[in-house]
Amino acid sequence: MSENAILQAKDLHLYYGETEALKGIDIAIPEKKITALIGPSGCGKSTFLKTLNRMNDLVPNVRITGEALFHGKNILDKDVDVTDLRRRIGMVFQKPNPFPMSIYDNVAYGPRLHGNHSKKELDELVEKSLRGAAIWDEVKDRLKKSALGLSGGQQQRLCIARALAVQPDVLLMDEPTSALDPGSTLRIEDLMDELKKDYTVVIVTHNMQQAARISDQTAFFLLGSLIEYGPTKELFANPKNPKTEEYITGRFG
Amino acid sequence: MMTRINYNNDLQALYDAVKQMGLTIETSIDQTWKALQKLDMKTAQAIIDGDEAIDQMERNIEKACLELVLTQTPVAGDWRRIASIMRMISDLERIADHCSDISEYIVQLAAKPAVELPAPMEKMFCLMKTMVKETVTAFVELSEDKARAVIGQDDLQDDYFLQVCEELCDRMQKHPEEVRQRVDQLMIAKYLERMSDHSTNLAEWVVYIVSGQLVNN
Repeated sequence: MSENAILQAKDLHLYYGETEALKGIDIAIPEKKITALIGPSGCGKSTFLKTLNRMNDLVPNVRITGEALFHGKNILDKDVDVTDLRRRIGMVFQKPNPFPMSIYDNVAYGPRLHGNHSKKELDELVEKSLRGAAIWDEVKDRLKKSALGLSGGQQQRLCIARALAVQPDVLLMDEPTSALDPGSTLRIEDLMDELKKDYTVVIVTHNMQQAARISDQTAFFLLGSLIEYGPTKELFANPKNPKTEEYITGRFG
Repeated sequence: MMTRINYNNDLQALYDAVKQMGLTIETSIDQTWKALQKLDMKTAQAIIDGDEAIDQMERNIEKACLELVLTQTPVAGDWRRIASIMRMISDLERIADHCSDISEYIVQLAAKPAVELPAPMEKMFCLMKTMVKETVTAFVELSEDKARAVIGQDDLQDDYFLQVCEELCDRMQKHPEEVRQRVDQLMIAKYLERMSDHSTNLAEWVVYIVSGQLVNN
């Protein structure tokens, strides 16, 4: 395990039936940093992200070889409790997907599922999570109202609060701002900067400037391979691989 | 599939404009040497008058760079080139200014009794001219080796400058009646030394464009 790496892939291959979607990924993701995964559509970055909390288990005919280590333990092992894994490695999706219930119940859903029914504890957890997602001030007077009445940007921050409520170590984000307007996008980017004090964030984004703005490390994927991985400022100022340069300067993809 | 065709065209136009500015300044340097050797007031005045055109080149290139940064959010090699060009045009413009400054001294010298140039002055001029020319070539060819070779020549220019200073001091002591001309020549030597410094800066930016390495860091 590399120093400070919370997640590490070693020779990770993933096949959808006969199609090899990940071709031997080796990467160490540092703790309490933001790591951006970039690359053209179909390059494997979202597949890789989903592998990190076993979301690909839901896809038929998937076969995975190699290792995906979380705190040094291979999460691909059969004895891994997937529900517990997903509590520790949460996920936020491209489109905000609040449950059709109150704002409070959305956030309390996860902790209740994991057996916490104490009203006092839930009240505290809901407030802490909503504060952590920088939405508390906007919703504190309407916690019992439906989450579906929130704007898109507010819904996405609610989804982040919902992910935080189960107190994860890692947040996986799959294009979390691609459906949002520029103002909401920048609020979530500011929020991510706050989140990395306590959490490790791995984000898939098609927005090169977003990757450059917010991430500490950037990984460039192409055709199922990890082409280049390194500190974001270096990768965007002086990429080592010509393929990376072609992609980030918009010459292809 | 080729993408960003307009962007590529704009970048190419930008490089061509910088190259043209460099070549124009090389010509100005040649003219300055001719004017200095013959104390040719007419040529010197033409160099002074031509400086505005070079200033305009700088402003046009600067505007093009700012527009590209604003509209195209360049990264990687594109970013290094545009950021470097924004710094390089300032050094190029200063070199052109110094051609004009030297020309003003030529006009003054032409009105006084003629004295010969100190011997190391020609070496200074040739070295400076070579440094500017090689830097422009390094930029056009994106050659890190040529740029680094220019950077290595700066110490030699400093040595030549000291030689010129020594010789001029000696002349002034022995021929006090030539002091005014010798002071003018000393100022010209200082400009030549500064022009080489600007060439070194230019060469350092070429190294950054090609390698991503900031030479002074």
